Amino acid sequence: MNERRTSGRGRGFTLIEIMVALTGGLFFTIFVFMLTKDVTRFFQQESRLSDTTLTAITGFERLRADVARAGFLASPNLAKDTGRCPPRDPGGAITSGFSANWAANASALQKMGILRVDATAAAISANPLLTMNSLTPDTLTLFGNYTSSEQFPARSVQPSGANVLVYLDPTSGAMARIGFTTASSAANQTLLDTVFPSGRALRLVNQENEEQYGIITSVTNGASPTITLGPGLAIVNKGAGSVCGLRGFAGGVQVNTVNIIRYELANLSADANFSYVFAGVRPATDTTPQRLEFARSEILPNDTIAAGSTELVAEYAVDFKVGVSVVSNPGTVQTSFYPTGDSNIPAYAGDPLSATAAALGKGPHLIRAAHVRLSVRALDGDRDANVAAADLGTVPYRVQLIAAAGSTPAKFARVRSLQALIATRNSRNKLWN
Amino acid sequence: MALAIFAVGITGVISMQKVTSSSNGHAKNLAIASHIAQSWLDALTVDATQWGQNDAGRTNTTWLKTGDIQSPPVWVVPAAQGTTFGPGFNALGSYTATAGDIAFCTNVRLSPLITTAGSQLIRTEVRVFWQKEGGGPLGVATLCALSVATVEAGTDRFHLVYKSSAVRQTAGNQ
Repeated sequence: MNERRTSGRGRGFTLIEIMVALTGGLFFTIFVFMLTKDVTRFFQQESRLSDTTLTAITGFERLRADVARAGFLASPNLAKDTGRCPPRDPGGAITSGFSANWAANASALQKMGILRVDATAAAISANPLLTMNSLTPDTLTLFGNYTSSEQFPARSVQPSGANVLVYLDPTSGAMARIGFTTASSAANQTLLDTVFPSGRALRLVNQENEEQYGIITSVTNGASPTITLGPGLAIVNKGAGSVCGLRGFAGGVQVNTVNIIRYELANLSADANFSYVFAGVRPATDTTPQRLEFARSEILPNDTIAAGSTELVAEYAVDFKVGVSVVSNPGTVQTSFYPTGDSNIPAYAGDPLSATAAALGKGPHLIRAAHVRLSVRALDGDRDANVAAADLGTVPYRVQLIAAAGSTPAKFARVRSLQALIATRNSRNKLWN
Repeated sequence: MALAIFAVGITGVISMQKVTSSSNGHAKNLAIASHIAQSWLDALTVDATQWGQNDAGRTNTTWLKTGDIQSPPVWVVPAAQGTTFGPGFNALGSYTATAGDIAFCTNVRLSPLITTAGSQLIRTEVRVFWQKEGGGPLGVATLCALSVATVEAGTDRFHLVYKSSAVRQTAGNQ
């Protein structure tokens, strides 16, 4: 028969002891749980900010490269360019020499400068997130050859009905360098379509350094690769009624594509190409109108966006500003820096056909550097307030997100801004009045 | 006994948090200083676009003028350009001329690399420095008022980031 042990050594815990131990354990567990929760939340916040920084850096490098290339194999100010054909009338209006076709078919190309800074489109500037945070982003338009680094010699340039045919020299060094062979292969056609894309402008420079522009409608490969220019812009021949233009069969004329690239804040939620970005159930801070992207698009000469050319450069963009460094006195070559928002910017980086930019000693060809600043936010808000206004300066630091109806005031999302001063070397030595 | 172990554990956790926080702060400052240095190199590159083929004295430039290049090359605090850019930057990395707000300061050193007239080349070096945690009082009104010798002798008081590049004379007038 078993006996109940009563000695102290074999005694179990009392109910009180167990309760105390359990309560202590419970408190400790709660403490550990709260600590872990905070650590996890902090990690997620910093991870979001890290993503933000990375996307900003990646997009910014793209922007830097494009700005540095602005004006490459293009005019830094077509309206005032002394090589433009037909030329501007001496003392005449800034648009003199341009046929009516330019405004009708190539309004964007007619305003070619090394770069242009405009206020962003009304649909974006009215975005509630931007208005609430008093942000007024700029739009940056760049002109230049962004499809290749070559000028291609032509064997001849000849009219064909309403079109003009540019017969490229298939044996030129430039054609060899892009990998062209005279075989009528799909690969060669793809190559030419990439270098001379349909709908883009083609710049023709003759041996007298006079430059004209046409609009590419197609390009064919084979033993005699040919670019067809549509009737949108006429190509001028020198002769009766024209003091400039192509001579004879125009052998030796150099041609290259001119692209128009636009950087701006955009709402891409309706663009099918980016549906993957907006797929699934997403928090309010990750959807329109809270969300805008920094986008790069190619603009056609008639000022419409080339289909499928839009690229998402950086997500969650909240601001983009541009300042310029210009030759403010062409006589002494003195330069001045005009920071973002400066009232002098339109005279250099505004519409080159406007009276302000058309004035003597003004215009985009005098731009020597662009100061660009891109600001992107973290996906979610994790701060209750912005820093004091006196400490802010001009660069966004945090943006307040839009509160959901009936909820408490929205949090502030942290912002990362990158800025750089980028030399625009392709306008050097251009000091026309 | 249990309390002693607990105290040691808590002390370890607090120390770890302190090191983490301090490292985060340093990483942020390091990133800001790198961007400031790059901004200065960009500014000097743009300045060189005003250095024309016939402008041996670099008279049209802001920072590359002959007077700023000394032999042997020395570090200097560069002059501010108007109200938009200069040597001092605040804790957020924005340019500031307000003495009390300067958290980062810049030194520049320019050395001639190629001196052939018409195709000269200058090495541009930039260093950005800021105070270490517990670096003690500055002794001057602002970080940028410190002498170059003080900065160089104070590696225990200052963090420094160095970057270098080169700028070339531009063909033509500018």
